[in-house]
Amino acid sequence: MAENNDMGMGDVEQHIMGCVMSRIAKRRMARARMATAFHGTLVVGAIAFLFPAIGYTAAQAGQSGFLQYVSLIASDGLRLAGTWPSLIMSLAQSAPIMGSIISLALVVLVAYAARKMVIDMASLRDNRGTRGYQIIGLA
Amino acid sequence: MGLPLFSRVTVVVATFLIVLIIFWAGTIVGHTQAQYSYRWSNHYADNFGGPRSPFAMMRPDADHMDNANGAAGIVVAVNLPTIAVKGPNEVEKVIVIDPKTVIRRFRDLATSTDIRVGDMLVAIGSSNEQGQIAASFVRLMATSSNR
Repeated sequence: MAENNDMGMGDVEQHIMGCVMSRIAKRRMARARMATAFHGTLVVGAIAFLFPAIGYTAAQAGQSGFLQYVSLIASDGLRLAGTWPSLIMSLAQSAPIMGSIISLALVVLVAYAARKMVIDMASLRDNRGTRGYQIIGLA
Repeated sequence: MGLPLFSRVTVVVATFLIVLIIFWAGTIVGHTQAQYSYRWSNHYADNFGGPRSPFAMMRPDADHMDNANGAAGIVVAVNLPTIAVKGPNEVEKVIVIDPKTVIRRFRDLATSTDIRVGDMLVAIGSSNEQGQIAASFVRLMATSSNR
């Protein structure tokens, strides 16, 4: 008590400021921890779904004959110059659109979640929960 | 501060244009496939000498629309000028060969009489009113039997 009484007005302000900043840092750390866990789970989940999606795309490409039409371009590209509209239409009709959309969406999700996770991990390493915000220019 | 107004409007218009082009291409591809599938289904008995198996219609991919401008698979019947091909998705297609059709086996030109049951081929062409594919180019692929 005596110590507190000895404090000047400036010291009290600084003490309160310190408490508030420490609370904010704790909150940021907790938020960064939660965000790291969430984005980490998202990365693992998206990678786990990515391989079956790629497999599905490959199966779709094989079943629709897309791979055979692509191989035709490799073997007879110049000879097919006269029939290119039919070839383009064949490729468009047999392209594994659904598989490609799913695979690409998962790749984008992995990249997005991994970027977020790196920012969150940087915040945790910083021990104040602000490093990640500094990296992306928000603090 | 971001892009100026003119650039932003240009980006929006260009994006809208690209979306419209993709949509237009999608309608053309979809219409072509639907038209071919309708004709193929309507002329099944004429093309394959009998009605389609009722079990074939119960397959999960029975309503799948097939490629109207090409066929790839194994030759299951040769009855010149038509050839029946079974694709990897188990769907049979009839290919019509005419004198202008270019047929190639390896590096050489081949003729329609070189096509045998069991050969694997890829054909490019356009669909006709009978739900067949009038081939303009046929590539006979290497299989274990003709290698």
